[in-house]
Formats: sequence, C-alpha cells, structure tokens
Amino acid sequence: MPFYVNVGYKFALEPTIHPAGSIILASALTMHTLDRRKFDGRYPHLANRLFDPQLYMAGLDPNKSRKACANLASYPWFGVSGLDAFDSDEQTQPEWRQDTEDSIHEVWPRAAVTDIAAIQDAVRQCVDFQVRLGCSSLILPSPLTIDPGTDYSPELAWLDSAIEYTRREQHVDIPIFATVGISDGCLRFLEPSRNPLLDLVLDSVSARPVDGVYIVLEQSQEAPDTKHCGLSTPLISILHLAHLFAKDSGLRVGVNFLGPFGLACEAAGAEFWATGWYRSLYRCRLADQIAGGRAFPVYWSFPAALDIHLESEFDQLARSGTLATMEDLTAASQGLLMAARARRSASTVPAWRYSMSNVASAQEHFLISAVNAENEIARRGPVERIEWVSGWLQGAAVNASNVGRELGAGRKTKTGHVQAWADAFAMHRRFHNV
Amino acid sequence: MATATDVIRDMLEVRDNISALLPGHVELGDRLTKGGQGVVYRGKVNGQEAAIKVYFPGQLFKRIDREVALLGSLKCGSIVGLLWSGEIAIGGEALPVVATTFVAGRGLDVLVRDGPLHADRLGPIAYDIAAAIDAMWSRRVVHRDIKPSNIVITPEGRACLIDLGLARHLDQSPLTAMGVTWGTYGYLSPEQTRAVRQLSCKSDIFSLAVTLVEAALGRHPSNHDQLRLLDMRLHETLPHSFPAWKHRLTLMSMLHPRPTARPLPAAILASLAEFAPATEGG
Repeated sequence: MPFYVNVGYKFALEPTIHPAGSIILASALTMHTLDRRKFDGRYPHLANRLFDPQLYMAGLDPNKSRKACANLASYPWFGVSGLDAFDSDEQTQPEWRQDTEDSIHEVWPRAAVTDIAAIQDAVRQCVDFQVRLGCSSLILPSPLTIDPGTDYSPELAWLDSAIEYTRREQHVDIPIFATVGISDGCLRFLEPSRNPLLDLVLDSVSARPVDGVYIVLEQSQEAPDTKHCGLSTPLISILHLAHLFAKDSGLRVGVNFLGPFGLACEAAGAEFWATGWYRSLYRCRLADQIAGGRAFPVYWSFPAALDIHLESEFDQLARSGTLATMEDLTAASQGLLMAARARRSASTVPAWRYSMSNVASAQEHFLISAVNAENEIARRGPVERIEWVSGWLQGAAVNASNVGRELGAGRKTKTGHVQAWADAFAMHRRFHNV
Repeated sequence: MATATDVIRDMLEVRDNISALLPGHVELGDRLTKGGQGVVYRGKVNGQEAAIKVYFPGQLFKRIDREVALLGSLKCGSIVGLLWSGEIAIGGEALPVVATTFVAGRGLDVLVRDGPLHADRLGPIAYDIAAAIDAMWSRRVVHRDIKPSNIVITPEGRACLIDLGLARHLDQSPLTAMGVTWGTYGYLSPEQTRAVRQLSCKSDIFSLAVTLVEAALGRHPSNHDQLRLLDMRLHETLPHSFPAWKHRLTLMSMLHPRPTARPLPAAILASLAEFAPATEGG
C-alpha cells in the first residue's frame, strides 16, 4: 500500500487508519523533540517512516509562519545562526520555543545556503539524522525551484553533495530519493511538453544515481481559502514528471502535498503518495500560515473529490438528495451519514458538529477514505488504474457540478478544483497516449 | 595580406620553430595533424610517447586551462592522460601547449572513410567510450563533442577519447553566450541543439550512439544534417544497412530523443560487459 500519512507534532492516529507508512515533516516539530520521540508499538503507521527535511521551505516568511520557522530552524541544514540550540539543562522546551519565536524573524535566512562547504555539512547532518531516525528511505534535501529560467545548479549542488555523502558513508542499503520541489509559478504558464524547466529537471535528476524522486509542488499561485490545488497546468506537469521519471528512467516516484490527486499521480507512474488532513499537512504553500491557525471540520466526499462545508451546506445537500450520490462511508462517517439519512442535521452528531478544533472525526474519515481509495487502485494493473482514476475524476466532476448547482453562488464548499483535476488527468492521458 | 595570426599559424607548422621553445624534457617529433584549434605533433615527455598540441592564437585560455585540469584529474583507460602543459611565446603571443599520452592507432573518422566497421568491432568501441563518459560524469563533466574524429582506435580494436576541449564541468560557468551551443553538427543530442544550459551524460550517450551508427554504416546516417538526424527516429528504426548486432536495442535506446529514456553509462557498461578490456575483467 503506497499511501503515506503526513504526520505533524501529534504522532498518534486512530487505529482505524492503516496507511503504508508515514512521512514526518520537519516543519511540524523541532529536531530535539523528534530526537526524543520513541517509535514504539503505539505508532504502527510509523514503523515504515520517512522524514522530509523540507529544505524547500527555506523561503518561508517568519512573520507569517513563526512556529514553523522556529521548528525548521532547529535543523542544521537550514543554516540558521544566532539561535541557541535547545539544552534541557538550561531551559524547558516551551522556553526554548518562546525565545526562538521571539527572535526568528531576525535570524531566519529566508533562503537555502549556497556555499558548497556549507551544503556538504548540511547534507551530512541531514542524512545522518534520517539514518539515526530509522527511516526506510532517505529523502535528500533540495531548495525550492522558483525561477523558471534556472539552470538548476543550486538544486544539483545539494543533490550531488548528498549523493556523494551517502556513497562515502556507505548508506547504500537505504534507498535514496532526490527531492524535486517546484513552485507552481514555474509550471503554470507552459504545457509540460513545452516547458524547458521540466526537461532540465528530468534529465538532470535521472542522470544521477538515485533510487527515486520525491516530488513536491509548492502552490504559491493557489487561492488561500481552499487547500485543494485548482490549477490544471501545474498538475499536468506533476503527472508528466511522475510518468517520465517512472516509465522512462525506471525511478521510484513519491508525490506529496497534492491530497488525493496523489491517486492520479500513482496512475501516472508514482509508487507512493502522501497527504494529511490539516492544511499544513495537505498542501505546501509558503504563503500559508504554516502550523497553527483554526481548523473546522469538513466532510470529505471521495466520489465528489471535495470537502463539504458542515455549517449548513452538508444539511442542504442531504435534504436535496444530492448527498446520496456522493456519500463516502467510513467507520468515522457512519454516524454522520445515518443522521443525514434520518433527515437530522449534522450538528446533531457531536463528533461532526461545526465547531473549532472539533476535527478528529473529519480527519479520521478523510484518512480512512484515502486508504480505501489506495486499496482500490493498488489491486489494479497499470492500465486499469488509469481507467479507474479517469472514472473517479469524471464522476467527481459531475458530482461537483451538482453540488455547485445546488448550493449556488457564495457557497463555502469549494468545487473549482475538481474539474481541474479531471482536466489535468485527461490531458495527461492524451499527451502520453495512455 | 597575411595577418600576424596567420604568420604565427604558419610558424607552428614548422617543428623547429617550436622545439627550441619547449623545456628539455619535452621532445617534438613529426607533425600528426592540424585542426581548428592548433597543430598536434608526436613527441615525448620524459621519454614517454606523447601527443603534443600547440594552440593557435586566439583560443580561450580558460577553456584550455579547464581541459588541462580535467585531464589531470581523470583516471580512465579510455581517456588520454595529461603528461605536461605549459606555454611558449611566438611572435609576441603566448601559446598554450598540452601534452597527452600518445595513443597508437587511427582516428575512427579515418577508419570509417575506409568503409563500414564490422559489427564485431562496435562492442569494444561502445564499451570504452561509455566508460570514458562514465568517468567524466562521475566528476559531473559532460564532453559535448563525442564524434569519430575525437576517438582513436588502437590496433587491438580498443577506443580512446582524445579531445576534451569542449568538456564542461557543471560547477563551472559557461564560456559561451546563452543560446549558443557547442559541439559538432550531426552529433548533437536534441537537448544540445536547444542550447540547454545544463546537459547531462545522456547527451554524450546520444553522440556516442550516432558515432557507432556511423561506424557501422561507413557513413553518417544523415550526412551530418542535424535536423534530419533528429527526424530519422533512429531510436525506433535503424537504417536497413545497419548490420545484425545483438546489442542494437541498447544502441537504439541510446538514441532516444528524451534523455530520460536513454540508459546511464553504467547501464550500458553492464549490458556490454562482455567487451570489457581484459585487464578490467581480471
């Protein structure tokens, strides 16, 4: 099962959720916190674990994402100087956090280091940390690609340094994945077949001795009020990368931060995909407030590929009968759907009541739904997978259109991304004749 | 009317004009060839057989420095080794001189002019030059100009790459303006024709494959027409006259227009392992 859950500070998952493994995100917790965590039987989803060093977040705004920057600053590959390392003899972790968050805007470098000696030192610490953490594969760090005219040399300097170090230290029995982190601004305006940046990335990375590629799309151009990627050209570009890395070069491909669109990436050739429920675990957008902020429950409908707003729109869709065609039944959503069928409001189901931080069931439901979808795709062959994803997205586009029609303008349920997902996959099929 | 540069060029073709300017451990012998960049003499360095290249005026010193540094750092049996480098002054011009190991044999371009090579001879050439590409790529160097005239075939049928003048390390800034590509028409990879700034070893793999096709046919597949070469889709079909060769599928994959679909040098070496030199096989 190649679905991985992005985990944040809180490691625990409901026992109903059975992903293939988990990806621990550096931005979610400090290095000294992670170093003290025990990977025991309480976290079966972490038995198979990856750690994303998230160097592509070096451009994060410390004024907006103070907590995430403080977390990232604790990892040496961000090259932050002027901060005291955590010392349990000197301070508590909350004290360290307070001190760090107070000064982070002064010391956060806002860019990855470029000096080759500093890069070599950074990759050494990053690789060693992942080995120490017991990761099943190593994710080699890369800065974010934000310039469509780049010659990719900053990214390659990191990659080559990491490859050289893993070879020298003979971490050869652990698969290594090169991070390809691209901002959607580099992808939005050109079809992938005419985008020289994609050719450059594909050639440069596949010519190096790595086992796989870990692809992250930074969604700077996306709307702030939805967590779903709604621009089709960047999505087609990611499918293009996944397809060519996997099919042409025989590399293992992982895709993160695209939500369940990861299933489409899997059909295009990716081996695994990852997401999480909270926005900071679901997508990567540096302009978001990463970590912190308020969360309200939503109901994820896999058949419609969207989150239904629970304050009033879920009830409206239930009353009109629209919901019946897009129910997504999981152990966590059973009570909610039973209430809907009995014409009771979602607000009568405490676990789904629309209130701040009442998100445990919404999160559990979404992740079970993702695992279920993964189980469906995993039992199919390559050709069937493509048909299955096409069927899902075409059906979702119809469902989303019905939702839009029923709820009308000004709705809080976001539907715009669904057609973009369907279009992206259809164009990918046409272009690659699959 | 002859310019000062023309005069110096002419002077370089007379051995005695140069011999006296070289240090004592460098001996100049007969002239081997004259190319676009300079004149190559046979000679000796500390008694070892050498090919000694004296550059014409106007060459980019930085490029020559890079070639010298690269030759000095690479240890590969199928790339010439650096024996000595220095400068001489003629007519007020400082001219670089680079001495490399002398490889006894004939240029592949010369051999091909005599007719097609038998298919049995392709394997060792493919293996040796793939090994050279692999060695360069391990240092992240791309040769950018692999072609028959840059390959010497020894009497034993082994191949050696002799000119690294256009090779570029990825760490180094380009010596050419953006949008300008370097290499030789008829051997450029598709990405090289687009003047991509960051080529990989896959570009050299493509050029090697074109070179092998030319060797097997006894003529260039598109008569050095670069556009036609790329239109021929050699990765799908080789010309009818291409001989039966059990590694033709590997060769065709090396000609794929997408670099991602071309094999890495290490994969080529693995599939052609039977052609490894006897010393490598132990």
